[in-house]
Amino acid sequence: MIVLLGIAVLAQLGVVNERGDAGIKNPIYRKSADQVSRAEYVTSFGMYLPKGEFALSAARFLGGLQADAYWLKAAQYISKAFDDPALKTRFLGDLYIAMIDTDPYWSSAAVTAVNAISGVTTQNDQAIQVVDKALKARPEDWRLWYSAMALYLFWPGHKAEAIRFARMGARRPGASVALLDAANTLASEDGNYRLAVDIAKERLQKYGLNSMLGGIAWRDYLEHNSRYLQYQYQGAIDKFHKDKNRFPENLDELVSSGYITNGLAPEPYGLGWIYDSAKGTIISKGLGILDGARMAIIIQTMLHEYSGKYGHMPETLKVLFDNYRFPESEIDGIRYFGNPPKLVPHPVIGNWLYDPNKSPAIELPPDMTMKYIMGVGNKIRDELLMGTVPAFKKPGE
Amino acid sequence: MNTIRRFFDNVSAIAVNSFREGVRDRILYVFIVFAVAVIALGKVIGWVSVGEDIKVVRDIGLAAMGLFGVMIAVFVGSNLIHKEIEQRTIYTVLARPVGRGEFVLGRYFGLLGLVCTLTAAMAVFFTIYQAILVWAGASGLNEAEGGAISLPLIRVQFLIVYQFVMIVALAVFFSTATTPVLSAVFTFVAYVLGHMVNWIYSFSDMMLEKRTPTFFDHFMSWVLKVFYYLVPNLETFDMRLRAVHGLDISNTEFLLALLYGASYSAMVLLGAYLVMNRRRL
Repeated sequence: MIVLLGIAVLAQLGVVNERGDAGIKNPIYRKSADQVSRAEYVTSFGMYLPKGEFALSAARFLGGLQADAYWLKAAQYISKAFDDPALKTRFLGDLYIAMIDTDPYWSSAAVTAVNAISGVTTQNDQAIQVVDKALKARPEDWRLWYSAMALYLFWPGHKAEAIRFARMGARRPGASVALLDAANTLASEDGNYRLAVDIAKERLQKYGLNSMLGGIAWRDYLEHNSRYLQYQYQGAIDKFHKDKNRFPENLDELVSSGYITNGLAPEPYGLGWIYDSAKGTIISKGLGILDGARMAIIIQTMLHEYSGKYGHMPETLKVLFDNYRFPESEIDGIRYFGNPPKLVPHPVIGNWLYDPNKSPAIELPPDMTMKYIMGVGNKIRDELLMGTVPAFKKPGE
Repeated sequence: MNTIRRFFDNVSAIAVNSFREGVRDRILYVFIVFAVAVIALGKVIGWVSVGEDIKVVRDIGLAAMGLFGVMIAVFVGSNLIHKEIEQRTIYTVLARPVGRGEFVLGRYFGLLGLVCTLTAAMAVFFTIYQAILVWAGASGLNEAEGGAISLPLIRVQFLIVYQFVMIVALAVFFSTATTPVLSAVFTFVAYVLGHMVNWIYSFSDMMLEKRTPTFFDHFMSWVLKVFYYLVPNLETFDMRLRAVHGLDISNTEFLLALLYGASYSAMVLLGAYLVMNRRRL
């Protein structure tokens, strides 16, 4: 027994000598070209962490205290001002990775770690490591999926991953509604309406049609489905035009020519498709009403800002848009980010009914208002709940 | 039937006597006081833990239970049999119709009862203390996972107490074979190595991962593998990481741990009996 113990101790001492700093990546002892010396680091921070894989393994009998030590050390790092900010960037992620290595079930700390790393440093790959390890240990914790989603959300070029994590996290028990809502927003912002439709259906299945959240999801489903179909059919028309150098006479010709397979899907709002054979454009009437109502709200707001600035209403809408400038202060109204809005015709009725002497100055017919189109959507939902219409189908079915 | 009855009578008599003898040792109360202080002062560390108070308190409490429990086992167990031999008091016991195996078993159960009782007392204090902290809203930013008193936490405390079935068996074994100092060192080293077993196993594989492993590498790998199986695998009982977060331990894992502890201890006690049997007294 003594001989065996002696061999074991010698072997492990050999590990320390051989692996030493190359063991667990202890940030205090990592070597690099601009690394501060070991003595200086211990003096500066006064908290000594054991070195090497052997020492860390020897402390396994302490249980989660190793992870606690890393957690406390990381808290010191965050709060401490570094002479060289690059040191903070380099070590914070390593500390959190070591923490999650020693206690992968500590998901609340992992969530904080991800926020800290992405907030303090630009080392998103380290934050990904932390959340990845935590997810392997506790895939049922929706907060980890949410953290990963948030991380990818603000990481340029990683929107698809953000959507993926949001959808997977939404399936976990107790998941926040914010996950699917975020996925829905991301998909629609990206113009990926097929994905947005799938997400809307997930939300409907999760919340149920007969609930407040389900009502919101149903509204989004109608809108995204309409946009998706509209986009698909417009693409088919464009292809027809490219092949035959003319626009189809009507939508039936598009179907019979094989440019739309599986038949023409009914317009989701039940109001029909509006096809202009001269221009080769197709719009969903319901979507046109919805977009028109939204534009009307924007124009009303711009008119309010204009009249507040100049003391009178513009003679025409063209004057309004030509003279529109970003508000000088936030009190003036809605701020528009990006390019100033452009004057476009109403998607369904074409010309705007503008009368500067009336209030509201922009008038919409009763069947073109937001209230009307919301009512249409709610009516379909009620019919679905009562079972008087078939359940919604996949786009294109 | 009479033999079996006499066996149990002898073992229980020695066990009770060992327990009473151990309880009189004042050093144990110092350990208990220190353990309680460490558990209670865990909250101080919790104050600087940025919203993870309860997790830190639980980690410190469970670590203290394990550490002080093994220290009690080491300090009392290391001198258990050797002292009797040195002071010749063992002769008065063995002069009666008491076998050496019964003596060893009796001493074992006595010490085990002592260690388990004291560790269980620590466990009760820890459970009540952290439950009070949770109820008093000491969790800071994050809720105490699993609630104030959860089944995983109770199970893991039971396993911490149960692991001493193996530790005390080793202490008794070393006590029969060596001097008290070496016995204490070996028992403590076995405890530490018991928590490093997974690393020992992976290191034995790493020895062979070189491009051209030498004969020495193969030999060391084999030695470490044997060592892995000899050393008590205390990681089997270590489910603290999960229990602290309120994550449940499966019944299968729990029962297998109990079975492993009992069978390993039986082997070690058999070894102690063989050593004791061969000793010239």
